[in-house]
Amino acid sequence: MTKHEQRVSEVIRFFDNRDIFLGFRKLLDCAMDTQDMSIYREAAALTDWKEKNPEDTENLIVKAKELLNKINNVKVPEHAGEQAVLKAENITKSYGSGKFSLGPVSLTLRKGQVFGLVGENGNGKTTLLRILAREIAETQGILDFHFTRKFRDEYDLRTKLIYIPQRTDKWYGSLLDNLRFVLAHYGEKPDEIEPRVLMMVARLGLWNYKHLKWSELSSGYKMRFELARTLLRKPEILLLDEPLANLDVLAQQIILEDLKAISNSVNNPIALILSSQQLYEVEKISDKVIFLKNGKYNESAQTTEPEKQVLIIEIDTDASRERLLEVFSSFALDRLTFNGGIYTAYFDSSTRFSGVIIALGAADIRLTYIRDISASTRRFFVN
Amino acid sequence: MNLVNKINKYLIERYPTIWNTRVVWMLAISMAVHIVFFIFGYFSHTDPVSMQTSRVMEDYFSSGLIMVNIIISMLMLVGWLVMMFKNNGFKNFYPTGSARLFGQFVCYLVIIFTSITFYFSYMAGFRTYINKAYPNDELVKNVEAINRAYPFLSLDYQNYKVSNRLYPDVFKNLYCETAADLIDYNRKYYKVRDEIYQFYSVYKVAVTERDEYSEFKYPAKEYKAKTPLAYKVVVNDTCNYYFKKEVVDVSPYLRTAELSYYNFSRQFYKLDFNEIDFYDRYNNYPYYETAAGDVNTERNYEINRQVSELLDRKNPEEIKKIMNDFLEISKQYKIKNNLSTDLWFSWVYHPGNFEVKHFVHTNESRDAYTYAPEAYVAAAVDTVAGDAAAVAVTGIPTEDSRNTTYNYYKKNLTVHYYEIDSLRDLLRSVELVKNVDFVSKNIHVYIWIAFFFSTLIFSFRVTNLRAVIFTGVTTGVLSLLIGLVSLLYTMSVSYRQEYFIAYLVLAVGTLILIIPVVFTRAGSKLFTAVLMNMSMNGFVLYVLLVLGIISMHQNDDCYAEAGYGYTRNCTTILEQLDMNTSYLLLAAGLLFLYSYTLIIKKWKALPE
Repeated sequence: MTKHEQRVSEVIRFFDNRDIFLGFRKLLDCAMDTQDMSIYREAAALTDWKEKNPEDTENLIVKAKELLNKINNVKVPEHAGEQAVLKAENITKSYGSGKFSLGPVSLTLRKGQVFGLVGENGNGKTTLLRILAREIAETQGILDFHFTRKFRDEYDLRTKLIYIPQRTDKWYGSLLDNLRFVLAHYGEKPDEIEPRVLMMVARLGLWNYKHLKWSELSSGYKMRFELARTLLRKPEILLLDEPLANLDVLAQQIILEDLKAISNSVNNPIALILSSQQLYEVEKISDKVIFLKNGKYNESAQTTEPEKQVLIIEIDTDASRERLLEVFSSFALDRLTFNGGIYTAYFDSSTRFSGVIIALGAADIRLTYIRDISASTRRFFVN
Repeated sequence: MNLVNKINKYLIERYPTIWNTRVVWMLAISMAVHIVFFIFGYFSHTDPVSMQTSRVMEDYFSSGLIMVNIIISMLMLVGWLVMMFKNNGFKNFYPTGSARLFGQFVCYLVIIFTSITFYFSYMAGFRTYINKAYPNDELVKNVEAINRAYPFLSLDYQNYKVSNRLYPDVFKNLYCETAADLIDYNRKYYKVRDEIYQFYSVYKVAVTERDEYSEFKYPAKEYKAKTPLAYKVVVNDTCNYYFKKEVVDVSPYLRTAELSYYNFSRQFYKLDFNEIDFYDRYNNYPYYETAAGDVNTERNYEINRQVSELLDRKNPEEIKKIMNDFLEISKQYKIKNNLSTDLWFSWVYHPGNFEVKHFVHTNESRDAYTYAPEAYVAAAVDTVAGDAAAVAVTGIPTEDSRNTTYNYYKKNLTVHYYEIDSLRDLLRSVELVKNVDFVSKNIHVYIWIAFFFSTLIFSFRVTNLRAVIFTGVTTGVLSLLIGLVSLLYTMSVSYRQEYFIAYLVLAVGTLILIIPVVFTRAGSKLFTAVLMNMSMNGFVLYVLLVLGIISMHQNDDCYAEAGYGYTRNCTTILEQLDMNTSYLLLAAGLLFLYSYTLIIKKWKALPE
């Protein structure tokens, strides 16, 4: 069974379980992997039908499965590139003595990988992304790109380094025209432009918004259109600066899942770096999280070995400090800090998270929130 | 709307640049406006009165239509820019080859050029109407009829003097002396009122040599012998001096020296569809022809012969028909007059000597002949009447100053008028509109407006607003600096300052051109963008400057070698190229921009 067939059968299971919302998006992912225009057209038609008949779930499942069978029959070659698409070595950027300086930062990124870039404001996330996108020049260091489609000159390289800034430019004119314009520039066959555009619109959940004006879109949908435009450029590497800003929690989750799914395509995987303040959400989908503090990134410090790892727990409760200390007295508590809203408890590596929860439950402590952040970069924020 | 969308979709999928620049729609709109202007032009001069002006070629500019043109062009271009600026693939780093980038520029050029050149359509419409309303064969016939009737119009008296006589043949080679102090009173002369005429045979001395002031040399032999000069005619590189030989008695051929229709030898209007130069036409205004310099003797002889033969036939019907035809044409052309065939005929038809006894005003307000030079001469004679006594001593007969031909003319002026200038203007206007090449005369202005506007928009599209504004500021500051340095130089050294200034600008220009090409990464991205924009907008001027400097050197070297003699041909490269300079510069500009797209792409890819 190929990876593609595996995915298709997975999607069929989603439909069997009536997880239609997720299933349909995954269906479109599989459809997109086929690069077959007849499949694209059918997928677009099905999306249209779905939007017009939102209540008719039974028929949708039947139609979706029919399409999935067709998709399953298309051979999708697997991308076989283990070579790093981006290699940065000791990148630094300084804005003059005494001012902010970034790095040195080294990282290696492969297609299909998702890197999260986190850090407090003003710690160089945007600067690093812009350096990787060659928007600004690094002061020192080596940047190496290896694309499947070789670039001829610097301009050609820039056409492949796709960076979406936090504040994107306004779009003018018809949204669909803007998308068509991209594909025409990328030399797509004229009769393939329309199905590809519609496919992307469908995949990013923009079907009902495609005839609106830019000014009529909410910021979440603007981000999605921007993403659609970007993905149509068939990027091999994608650099996103705060794509989650201005999105509600649900929208954040969905867009992250979409990004993960799209970058994880069978035949056109994308290397993705995104910066965000939403630690939890980013960590959930990232293969690696880069935490920048004062422009510095210490890879070894952030990957501590499991046996040396201490247990760090965040607790939101109205219980007093004394009460908590009393409950934790039987554990090897290193320290307990309180930032006004949340307690952070540091235990030594022998302590287990489940044990702490049992103790808290037994003591009948009222908990609003509790999280093990031992492996999360969140621990650097609370530190 | 559906069709528009379909076409747009077709274009965007296949030709993104054409879709983005909206060239198809702009050409369609331009085409429509061109048609409207063609119609304007067609109906602009349907009234012949509007053709009775010497400035019909400039009507487009004086009538305010140019303002309409400018407003429409501006609206079109602003609308176009708003539409086009919606998308910019290059700014978004979409793959863009040199050809596509240059194609954008060409689209701008085509769009702007077609959106400002409504003048051509107007003129084409105008010409189409004129060709239809005044067909060539009819025009030729009408001019012939006008020329036949013109001798009888009696609008002035100069043309009827005996000194104009060229027929019979004997008069053709004679010179008629009219200056009182040059008359040989011992030989046969004619006197009418205050006018004196004496006919001389002449001989010709042709001279090609020039003196140190580059004037033609005066024949030495005649100078020594003090042979009186009759007149001289310069033809190309030769000056023909005509010297008086002896007085000829023409009494067998001349019955009277009075003003007579027999003496008329002036052609009113000459149609020449080949002679198309507008300015030559102005210089050939008939009033500037002088008797001495008249190279049209043959033509005048022919006219004089025709008039004389007509009069000799003494056929009232024939003359009446000529007059009638003339007045019919005048009516067709709406020339103001209050003549009638019968009355006019009665003034003219005096069989025998056909003396001129009645005159006609040249305009409706009847301030006739105010500008005739003779009127002033006559007035001057009146004031210097006191000198008559002195003249009498030398044997010249004195006359009552009131007994002048001018007074005779004034006395016999009727209340009738014929606006002959309107007729002349109309004919000239028609001929100009038919023949003047209005396209190649004006196209350069439009080409360069379009070109510079296109480079400006192109600069803005490939760089950004900030860079364009800084380019403007930098250009201003640089110009000021160059001005100041030049001023300082002029005040202090002032040796060949035009060379100093030219070379200074050349040096600065060369630097501006070189830096973005060779040292793309030398300065900040903005700095390079400013120099790039200056290069794109100024390259053509740079080439023109180089040509200008070459011309300056050629000119100076040539004159330094040749002295002030006229033997050497000092044609400079600019003079040699003439109007082709414009096309050459356009080709250079286009070629430059095409190759410059590589630099633009290189610059665009630079990190900040």
